[in-house]
Amino acid sequence: MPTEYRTITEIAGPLIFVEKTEWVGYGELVEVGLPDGTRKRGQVLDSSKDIVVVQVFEGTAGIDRQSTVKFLGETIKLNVSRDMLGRILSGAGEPIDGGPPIVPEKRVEITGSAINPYSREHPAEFIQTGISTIDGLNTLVRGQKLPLFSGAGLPSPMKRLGCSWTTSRGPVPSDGRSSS
Amino acid sequence: MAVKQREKRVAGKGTGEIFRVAGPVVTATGLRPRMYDVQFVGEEQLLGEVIQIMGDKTVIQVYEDTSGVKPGEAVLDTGAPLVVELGPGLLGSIYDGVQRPLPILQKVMGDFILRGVKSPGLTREKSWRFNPRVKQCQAVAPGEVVGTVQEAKNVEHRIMVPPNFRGGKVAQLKEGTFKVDEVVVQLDNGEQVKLVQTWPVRKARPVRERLMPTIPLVTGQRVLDFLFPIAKGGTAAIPGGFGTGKCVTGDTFVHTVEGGRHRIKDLFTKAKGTMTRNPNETTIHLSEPIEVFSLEGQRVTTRMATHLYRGLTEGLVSIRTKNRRHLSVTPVHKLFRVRDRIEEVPAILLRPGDSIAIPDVTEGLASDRIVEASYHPGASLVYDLTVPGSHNFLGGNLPTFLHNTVTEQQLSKWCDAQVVIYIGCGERGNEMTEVLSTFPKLIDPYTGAPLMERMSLIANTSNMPVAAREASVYTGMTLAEYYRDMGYNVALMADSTSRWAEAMREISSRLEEMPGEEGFPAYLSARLSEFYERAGRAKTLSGLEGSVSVVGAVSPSGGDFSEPVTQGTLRIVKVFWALDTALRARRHFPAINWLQSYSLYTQILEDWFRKNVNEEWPRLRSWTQRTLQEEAELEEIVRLVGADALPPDQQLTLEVARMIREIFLQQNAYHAVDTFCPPERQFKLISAIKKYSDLGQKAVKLDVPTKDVASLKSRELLTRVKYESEFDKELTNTLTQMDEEFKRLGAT
Repeated sequence: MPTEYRTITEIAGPLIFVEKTEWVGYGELVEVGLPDGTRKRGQVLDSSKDIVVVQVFEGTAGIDRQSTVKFLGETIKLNVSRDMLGRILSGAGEPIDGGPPIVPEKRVEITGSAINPYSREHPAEFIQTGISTIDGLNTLVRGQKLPLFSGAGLPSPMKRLGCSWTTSRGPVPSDGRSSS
Repeated sequence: MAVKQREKRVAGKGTGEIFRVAGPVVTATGLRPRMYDVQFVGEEQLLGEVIQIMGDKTVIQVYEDTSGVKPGEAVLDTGAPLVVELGPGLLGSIYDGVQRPLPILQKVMGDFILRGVKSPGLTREKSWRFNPRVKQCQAVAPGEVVGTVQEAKNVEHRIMVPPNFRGGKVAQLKEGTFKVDEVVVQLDNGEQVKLVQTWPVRKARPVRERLMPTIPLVTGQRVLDFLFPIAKGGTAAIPGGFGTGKCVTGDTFVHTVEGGRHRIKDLFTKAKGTMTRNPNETTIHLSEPIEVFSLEGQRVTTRMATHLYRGLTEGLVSIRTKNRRHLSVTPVHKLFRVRDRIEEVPAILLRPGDSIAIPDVTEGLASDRIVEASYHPGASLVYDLTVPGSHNFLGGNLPTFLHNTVTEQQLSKWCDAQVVIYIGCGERGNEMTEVLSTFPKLIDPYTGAPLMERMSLIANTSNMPVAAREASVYTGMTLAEYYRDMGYNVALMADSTSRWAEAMREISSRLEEMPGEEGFPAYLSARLSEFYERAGRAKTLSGLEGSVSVVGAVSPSGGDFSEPVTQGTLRIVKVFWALDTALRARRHFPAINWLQSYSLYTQILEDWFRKNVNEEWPRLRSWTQRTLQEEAELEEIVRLVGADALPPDQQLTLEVARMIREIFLQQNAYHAVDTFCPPERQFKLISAIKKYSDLGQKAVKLDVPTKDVASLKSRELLTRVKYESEFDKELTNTLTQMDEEFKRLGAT
């Protein structure tokens, strides 16, 4: 059980500064306990022997110097499972659709490692969206970064594109991986 | 001296403790290192470099991801700066920013780059044949060549006494095959020369004397060589990146191991697998690979073909042989010519009388004499089979080959440098893949060997650790200097220096340094010039002449040339090739804007061009530029009042400028002949246009309507002459016709 600290010295914007901790790893996940029982999550941005800087994900509202800080001893990992398909998740990967928790098949770090450029293959597969102006003039390619720009007052392009995209890709292959 | 100092350093090695971790910047206590010495950080021994010392605290920039690294973990001081290994085996390698070979990393840790893996830059397994050049008891100085190793078919690797040695008399000399870390020459002062030597990347390798950059780096690209030349040892900047493109006709037979001969187009229609379509190109990744015969060295073996390709070409070379073999291939396609030995030669260069090797299933390796070789322009479909490993397959015996589009690849391919170092620094992974997958397939037009044999690639994509990116340009530069010291001309391409500057910015802000313009550190321009200043032509320590020419790509965000990296770069480099999106949209290639680009070497290189090409070169060059400038001015007027309102001589100027643009500046990278245009041909082509212009002006003065001058047959012919393999003959014909036609118009 990790130690809980009550040594917050400074709170500024989304950052809290914690003193006199044991040695904390860079990028480690942090749980902040508020006096009212709320729990917030954060991540170590800067770790030194004197002071640890934590960025709180849900904002620092309500945190006071009496709040507890717990270092969880690992960087941010996510439970992943094929059953995540069809579920609605929060930004932290927790289900918010009222369904049961996800039974993890694997726990993976959310900051993935870099692909060895030598191992990469050149993307050359066409993504059919069914939107003629995209398919015909500005073709999308699997494995390519695909930015979408929207202006104020314009509807979100994601919804339409997301739908046509999923339909065009066909079912997920049986090994659970998709090519893009 | 040097040896003593090193011993002291070894004694100074020590361990410390991490005090603070903030991203790639780690502060440690308890160390007494020197600036830029390498440290191994934390339990995983991540590679890092000292970048700041404050009392007992040492600031280390770590080349790998530091997630999970804790204060209190150990730091090990190696007592030595970041070095690269230099020796045979560098060429043809693909490295990350700190010289770890990527293919080996893939073997060790799979497709993703994990932390804390170390690997020497040069393989210890391969043996090289060492031929000494010195004699027993001969005195050798630092930098002197003691022997050679044939590194690639066309590159002789010269083994030198490392410049940081004292030098002395040869006490022991070995001959034979050695691994890189074996001693080949022992000096009387105890110094041992191995095939491999190390050198700190941040330190420029010494030379005896710097020389003036008076020789052009010939690229065969007309707009570059003629208008904006770069000198050997010069520096150039080019904004933007690159792209790629790609063979045999459909009726070519492929011999498969099971089932004899098939027409490649039939194979294509029957093939099973995932199909990828691009405009004009289709590739099938075969789900059932086809086993084909393939030539490996002198032996015929069987190999699996994995991909089938179909694309378009603009023309074909048709070859007929004595034994009634008939081949149709793209002009740049390599065939095996038999002379004293078997060599790969582009089809367009084959002449009747040459013999080509025809490995046949039944006959073994046979040769066949060409009786007819001709070029037929016209678009047609071509096919290709990809055979990994040997890159050729048996049919008409046609090795696969790829061709390319844009300037950087054209530069790496055609520039007359013996060694090319390419640094992909912070580029997108997919673009790097393009380089990594196409460059190894490019064929060196000068030697016919794979281009990779005289190249070294350094790949550090945008998602690889940022600190290693910062180091990658220095790693590349050190490799370049090493080959320069052997007396070679080296071309270094850095793509892109903007990403490198961004890495510097990230490190700088972690260090809480005062940010300068746009957040870049105040020392940005100093670092940029430090890098570019390592370029140059020099007399090496061994008295040879070598050069490092640097072409840096800058990719200013939003095309804004006023941002600090572009400005800092432009202050240093002497050549600027402005890529222009408007030209690209107009399909004018190479899309180099002739009004924005400049070269400060034109004066210095004038003498060379005058002596080696033609006295008139500088005069014609300024005439060309003047005409293009005039065109830009006249176009303003034309926009207001229309071309018809201009006086006839100005109308003709517009016509001539158009010819300069379309005939001279535009160059087709896909065309077998036009892809490379030697300076002599460049000069002849532009002289022809000048001649047309002079005669035309005369005619116009005699009241010949401009449109009559513009519609001459010879003007039409002039547009085609650059594609002719018999350039000189065609040009002479065209010029004769031009004379006649103008005589008819009354102007001679």
